[in-house]
Amino acid sequence: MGNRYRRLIGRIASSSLEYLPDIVLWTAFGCRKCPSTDPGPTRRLEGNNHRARFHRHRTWVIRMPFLQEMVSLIRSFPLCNSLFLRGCVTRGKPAVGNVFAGLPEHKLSIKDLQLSSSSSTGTLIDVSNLIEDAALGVESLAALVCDVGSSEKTRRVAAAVSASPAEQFQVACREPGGFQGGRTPLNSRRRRI
Amino acid sequence: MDHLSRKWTLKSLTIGPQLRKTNTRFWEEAFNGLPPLPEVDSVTIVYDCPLAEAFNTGCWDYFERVLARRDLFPALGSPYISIEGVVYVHFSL
Repeated sequence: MGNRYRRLIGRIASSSLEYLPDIVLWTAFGCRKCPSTDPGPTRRLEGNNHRARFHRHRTWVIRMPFLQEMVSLIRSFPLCNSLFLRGCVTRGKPAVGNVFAGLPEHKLSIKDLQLSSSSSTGTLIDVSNLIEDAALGVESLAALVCDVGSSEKTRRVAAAVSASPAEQFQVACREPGGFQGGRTPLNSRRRRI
Repeated sequence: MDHLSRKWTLKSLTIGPQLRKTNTRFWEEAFNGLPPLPEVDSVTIVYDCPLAEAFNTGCWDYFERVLARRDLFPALGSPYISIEGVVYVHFSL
């Protein structure tokens, strides 16, 4: 386990983070120089130093390079209902194993879910997969803001949010690869709405 | 197949910012089978165009057609256009 995670887990263990209402997670990609999609208040508080920090807005800002670890960390906060993932690009599985595997796993009830992509190249986190992997309860979801990369993913996200009580839905794409058409050929287009 | 719920209680829809082109086909596939959204009173389309060549209205055909459908968006009114560095095309009551 790296020193950075030892320190991080030490701080988590020494604080009452089970009551944390908001989490902001960053992946290693895209957080080094504050991508333009950074939230203003957090950026001002954190500057360019994105080490794990629990600041006065009761929000953790943590660099998370691996999806697997991110999911484990998310699930350790049972009362978290606002989740913000910035720069959602991951590097696959960690070489040394999931350092957060020992944390308790809860099912979170999310009201506000926001995921943004990174401006760097990489793989976007699939929102619908994240909801499933992190066991996020969306029964009380009020707002979803996310970046997607294809019509297929957009549809999956829309389907997920349409089954929730969410009143606000924003779909964006800040990835250089951008929105891509789906796999459906033009000549087999489905019924127009 | 992921189906959009017929009981979607959406009130506000925002498309973008988008840095690359999307065309009618993209949104037809994404929102195929879109149910009526009687409570949607605000739709915002954001074109964030850091590069002139990235500016694209390829998706406009789709939204122009769909947002005009009163059976799908009965609460939507006329578009309000705001230009402030990026282009916001905002539909509201």
